Amino acid sequence: MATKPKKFVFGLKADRQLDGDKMNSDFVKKVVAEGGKSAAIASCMQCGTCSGGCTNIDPMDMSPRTLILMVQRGEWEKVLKSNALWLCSSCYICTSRCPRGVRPSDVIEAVKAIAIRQGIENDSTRFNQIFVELIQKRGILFEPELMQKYGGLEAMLEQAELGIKLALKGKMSPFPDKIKEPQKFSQALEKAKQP
Amino acid sequence: MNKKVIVIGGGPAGMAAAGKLQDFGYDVVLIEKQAEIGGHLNKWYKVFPDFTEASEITANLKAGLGSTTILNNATVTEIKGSAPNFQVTTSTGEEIEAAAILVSTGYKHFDATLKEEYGYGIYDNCINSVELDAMLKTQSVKTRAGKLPKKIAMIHCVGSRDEKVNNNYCSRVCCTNAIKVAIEVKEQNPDCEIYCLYMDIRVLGRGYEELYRTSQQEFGVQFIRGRLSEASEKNDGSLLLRLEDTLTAKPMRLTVDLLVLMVGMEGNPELAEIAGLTLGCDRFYATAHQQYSNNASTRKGIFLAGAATGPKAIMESITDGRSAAAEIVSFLASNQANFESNMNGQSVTKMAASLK
Repeated sequence: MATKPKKFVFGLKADRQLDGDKMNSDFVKKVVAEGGKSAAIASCMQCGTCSGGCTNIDPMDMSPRTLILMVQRGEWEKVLKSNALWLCSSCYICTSRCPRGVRPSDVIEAVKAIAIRQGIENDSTRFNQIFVELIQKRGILFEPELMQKYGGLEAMLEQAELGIKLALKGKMSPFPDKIKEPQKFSQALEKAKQP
Repeated sequence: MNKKVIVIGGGPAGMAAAGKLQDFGYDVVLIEKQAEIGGHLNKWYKVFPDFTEASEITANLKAGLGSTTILNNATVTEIKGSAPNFQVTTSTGEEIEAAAILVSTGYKHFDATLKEEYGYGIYDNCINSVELDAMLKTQSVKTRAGKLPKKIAMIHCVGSRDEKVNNNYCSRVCCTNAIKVAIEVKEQNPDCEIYCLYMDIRVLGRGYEELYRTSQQEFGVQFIRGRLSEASEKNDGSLLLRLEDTLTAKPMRLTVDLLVLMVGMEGNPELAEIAGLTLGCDRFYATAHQQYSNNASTRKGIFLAGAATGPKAIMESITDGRSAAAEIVSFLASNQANFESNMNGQSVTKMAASLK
């Protein structure tokens, strides 16, 4: 994922300086159209309450506050490159605490939707894809199957010890579960797919 | 006893005070330097946070003046005597006896040419907030070349919070004013992008924060946290700004068609010597006590109101003028001995010291 930063003369990184002239509102409009209408992106006053409460901020390369700022300024590339989109666990702490009614979780969702439509591919999108496919198939998750599809045999062996422990404690079934009314579930799925 | 009160300065504070004083039955003489009373209000288009027309405010205050005698085109050249027997001489040659004097001489705008790095007076498209307001009034916010600007930057804190121009204080109104004019520009020219370059947003009045939020939510005004370091002119007349975007901690370059400097307020010390008034280290008139005697000057019988004692918004000046009127009435009604306790020169010195 990480691309080598472009070097300017004398070895200065080209992204060391911000080009204010590139600021535009195209991105905001796109995100708003994607379902972020109630996300109130423009209202952000950069207080950082969202980032302060974020449960997964440590591994993120961009805080939710910065992400909103980048969306405001139309910094497409930076947002799409950010791992914050995929590390967000949608816990909604940011959204419930924002004093200006900005909804960072919803913004992230909307940005992700745009990114996926644009064909972005990484481990997170692959995981999500497999997850959704399995749910569609069974109506309920069968973890070993997910593990196998996502990480292959290698991952299965790596996690085998934990899996056995979980199974012995009854936290995870070694056999796939079934849902009560598969018919109704697939009907619900079909309905959800309709625009 | 002489029931005459002299009000020096016919801005919002002076007009508001004169109106109330004549309601109380005093003979009020309002001395105004300009040909027309109203002060800075005469220049403004609309007033924040509710976009009241400035002319409406002036009309309202004028209507309240009642029996007040107005001396236009006059300044005070000499004040003799002491309370309650002052003799005031004006530049027009009149001599007036008065029991009390109210100084409401307001403020002056910061001279932006002192911040040479911003290029005011050098670059065509660098203007100050007073000039922008005049443009808004005539619906003609344009660059010098007569084009509609696509990008405008508003620079907060020009001449405020700046040791280099000897103004350490915050002018208090420029933030809200910047937001107000940003909205007005957006209303007249919706395609124009507006960037407010601020250090802190200080909008601390009723309805001000809501105005700030509205400017972002409804009008898409952008706020960039960082103080402008320098501006330079490009060949096409646009201006290249250099600043740090402190929210991402990166230096930024930004090109704009029009640069608006939100100039701060400076004290108007013209009467300091004539009236024997003390100045604070911020060069506004010092009051007898900052907490409980904020309309009394350091000299008995001379009172202060409005922006003469520090930056104030229109509404605050009006309120302060009326508060001063109440102080004067109580001063003239009492045997004036009560006021001695407030005339504590020491506390003024202390206050001035604490401001440093």
